[in-house]
Amino acid sequence: MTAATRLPVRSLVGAVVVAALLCVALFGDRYAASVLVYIAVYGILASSLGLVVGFAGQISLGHAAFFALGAYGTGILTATAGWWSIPAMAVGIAVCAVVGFVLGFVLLRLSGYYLAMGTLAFNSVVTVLLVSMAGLTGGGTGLAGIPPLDLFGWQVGDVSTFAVIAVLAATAVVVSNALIHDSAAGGALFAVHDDEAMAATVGIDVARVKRAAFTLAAAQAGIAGGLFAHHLRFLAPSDFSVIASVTLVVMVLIGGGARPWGPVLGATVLTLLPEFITEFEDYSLLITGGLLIVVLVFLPKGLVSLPDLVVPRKRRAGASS
Amino acid sequence: MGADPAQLLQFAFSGVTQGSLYAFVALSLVLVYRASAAINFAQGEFIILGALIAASVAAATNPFVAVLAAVLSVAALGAATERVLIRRVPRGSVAAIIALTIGLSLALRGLALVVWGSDAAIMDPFTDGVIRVGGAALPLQVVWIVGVGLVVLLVLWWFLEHTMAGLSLRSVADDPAGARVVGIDPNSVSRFSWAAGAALAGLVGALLAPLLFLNYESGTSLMIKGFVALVIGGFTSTTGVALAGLLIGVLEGYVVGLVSSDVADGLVFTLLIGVLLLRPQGLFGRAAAVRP
Repeated sequence: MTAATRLPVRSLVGAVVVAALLCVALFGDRYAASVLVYIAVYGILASSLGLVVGFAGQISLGHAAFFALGAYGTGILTATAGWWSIPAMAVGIAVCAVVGFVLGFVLLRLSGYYLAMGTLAFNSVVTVLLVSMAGLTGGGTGLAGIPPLDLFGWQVGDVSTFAVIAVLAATAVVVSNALIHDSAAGGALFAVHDDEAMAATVGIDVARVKRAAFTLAAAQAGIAGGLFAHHLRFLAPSDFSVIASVTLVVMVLIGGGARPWGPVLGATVLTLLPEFITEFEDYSLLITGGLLIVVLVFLPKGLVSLPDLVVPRKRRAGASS
Repeated sequence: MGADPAQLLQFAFSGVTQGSLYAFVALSLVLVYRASAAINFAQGEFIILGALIAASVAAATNPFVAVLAAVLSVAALGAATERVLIRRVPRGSVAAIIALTIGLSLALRGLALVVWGSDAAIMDPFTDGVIRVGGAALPLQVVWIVGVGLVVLLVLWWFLEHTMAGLSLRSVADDPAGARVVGIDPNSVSRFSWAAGAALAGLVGALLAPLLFLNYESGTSLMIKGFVALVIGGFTSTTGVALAGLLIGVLEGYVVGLVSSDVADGLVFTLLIGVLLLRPQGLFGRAAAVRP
């Protein structure tokens, strides 16, 4: 009953936020629209990583590798092979899903530090391949010449329109992850998070549940990659390093991984932070690190749980904590 | 490619240099892991702070005061980290420890940038000069690093495997409640191991500062390679992780010299994935040492 009464409120708040963002995209200047694209791209990435880290409780220090596969897949197919955007992005997303699925079989047998190390190693191998397969990827100097996004002939060269599309894509991803959060599948993920042995006892196929979350997260990172490629129209390996993966984990944790809006909030905060403190650019690392520590110590459920301090949250049975 | 013997020897030298460095980092991680089952993702920044402090102090005094200052201040930082952050985390909560120490690493990197700027630490070698063997050159600073590294390895091995205090570290990691029953205070043991691990990191930093150009950003790659050596060596074995560090360094030395540094990185991480999947207890670890 509480879930039923909560849902409209949450949807309403979400709709207002999305509408406000769309207004910024349409009526703001180019700078605002460009920042918005970054928020959407990193929002998708953080939300997808939230499935793995926040819902299923599996650490991954390699999510930027899927971002890379999506971005370079789209970039290479459009720039070099001359494909249209949509089929190129679809192939990029499919590659992410397949690699995520296969890697799920291999790496998700590990847990804790071993899983952290395994995913980090995967990310490092992908970064090395990006640099060394220069014929295909442009190597260390980067992949140039990616055309603007086209939707079957309609070229989206204008950053405001692109921001609208990016915000809509991000909304779709976040809403679908919110639906997963409230579904039986979400319950299974949180059960695995809380106690794998217990989850197995009640008939949850733990390995399959983890693999499903990992595969879906990889595919969603592919969407972010496709958008990123078409926004920047130039890709360099440094955006996809282990450091980028660590930043994504930080976004999830600062925002709060166990709730659907948490990771997006974290992505928004960390994307806006450097924009607001441009005069004190040198302090941005210190502030980010300090913020993460303070949030982890005093708000272990992330910034998204701030309102709980004012209005205690009525918990529905089971699921997120 | 025509690599002559002198060149091959030079690759071995640079391999041993890198390798002893990785071994050193991994040893400092083992010390912490043995007592608190935690891995400090800020260890790279601990090393960099050691290097920056040592370079600053050395500019005013002499290298030996500088080493002492680096070791003591980073040890204090390690103890404070344990007291303020790590003790809040329930034991075995891997994600929370990773998250907190990642936060710490960002904050310390930011602090180093604010205090020291983005310039590399400049410090004179402890003893100037190079050794020349058959056309290859080895800076004397490397001899210092390898020598001190060997001493540290011996002391650690003896301490952890053959003394009561070392045994109490292991008992706390295995079973804190049981350790308390026999009169060991898990908190003070844990704080000691963090201080000691951080002291080692400070020492590594001070030894490295004259050899490499280290700035606020250099910690990440050091930490990652040390972590790789830790996993390949089997997490808890002092000699195992030291050997693994050396092995990775020498492998890198040759592949970097003969092929390229990208291929070397790719090879190391592929080897790592192989070890994780086929021998998760590490090349030199005992099966019983595997922990989730």
